[in-house]
Amino acid sequence: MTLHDRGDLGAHALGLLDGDDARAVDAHLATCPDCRAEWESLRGTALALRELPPETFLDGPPDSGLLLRRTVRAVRAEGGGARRRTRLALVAAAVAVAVALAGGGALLGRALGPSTTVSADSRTPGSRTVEGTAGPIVMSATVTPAAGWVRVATTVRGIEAGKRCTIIVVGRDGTENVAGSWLVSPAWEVEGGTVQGSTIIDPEDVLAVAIRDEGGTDLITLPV
Amino acid sequence: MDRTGDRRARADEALVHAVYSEHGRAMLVYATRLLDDRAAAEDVVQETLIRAWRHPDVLTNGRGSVRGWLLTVVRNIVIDRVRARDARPREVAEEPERPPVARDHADAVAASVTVHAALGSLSDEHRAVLEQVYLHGRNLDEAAAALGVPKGTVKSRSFYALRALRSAMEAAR
Repeated sequence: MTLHDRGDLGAHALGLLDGDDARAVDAHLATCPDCRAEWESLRGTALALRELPPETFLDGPPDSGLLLRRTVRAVRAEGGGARRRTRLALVAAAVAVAVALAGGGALLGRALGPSTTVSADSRTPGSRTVEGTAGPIVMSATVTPAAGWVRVATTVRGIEAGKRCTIIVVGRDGTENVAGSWLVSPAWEVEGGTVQGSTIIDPEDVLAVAIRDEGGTDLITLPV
Repeated sequence: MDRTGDRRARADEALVHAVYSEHGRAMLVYATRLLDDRAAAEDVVQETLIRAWRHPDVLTNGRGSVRGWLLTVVRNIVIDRVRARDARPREVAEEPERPPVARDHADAVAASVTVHAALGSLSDEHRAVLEQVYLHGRNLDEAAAALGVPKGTVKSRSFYALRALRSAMEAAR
């Protein structure tokens, strides 16, 4: 090995080096205090990671949606048990909460950050519009029911230019339907723009509309 | 249900969906491994999701911290259930191959949350090399093949990943 090859130190700390290579690194460590100090520190970090369950590295949903449906039913049964104010705080991280009062979209979010208003569009029966923010992103989404499918219009600003965005319509059972995609231009980032899309989902089953980036991160999710 | 109630319900469901779609797999696979029982593991994950929904303030932290919190809750519920089961008269003989689970000291849990948070701050490239080792248990050749990069690259990424993790952990202290 090359003297002071830090790559070997990292690989050795992770236990990636086999017999000969590991022995060569150990021999070098015995004679080099600098590498020795670095090695001990890296080894400590590697061992700290060992304390975590390996499942930490698993992303995404489980392999079955049944568990989600069960949990949603349980949450519904408990309904309203959680304090609304803290719920709104969470939404700052992940989702914008829809707060609609019968007879109009009064805003309960106030200074808590993201908030959503919902209004029924009188011109198109059954159509619902939600508005909300997540950090710098401001979005309004309108879902218009059709026969067994929906039209979706999203108006968004504040998403970084260059992002490749997909409109996801989330069903109540956790299913996800793509309703369109676009590439954010510099002007779009600042001024916003509207994308129209559609997807096959029972209008009654629509739970939320989300904008997802190419890395799979949901930038904003609005319950409809 | 009136309109307001319906809106609130949808917001709750969206929240549960968001946590589930990002962390559900990690929670369920972990609980299944601890309990060796998929049905019991699903109960534990459901209970964990409900606790997250009741305490959404913890979910405003970074992604890594959120996962650390969720997995710690999974683990604690598993321990409580195992204890409750053990406190009842035995109807079923204890299965000797099931590993005993002991509750962490608070310090260890706090420390692991720090590691989780640090892990959440790593780049995808660095996280991927650690994943090869800790999740898949691969050796150097296998990791290089899985990542589609030369062995030397796996080595250097190992070094920089550990160093980035170390810096993030030190910053949190």
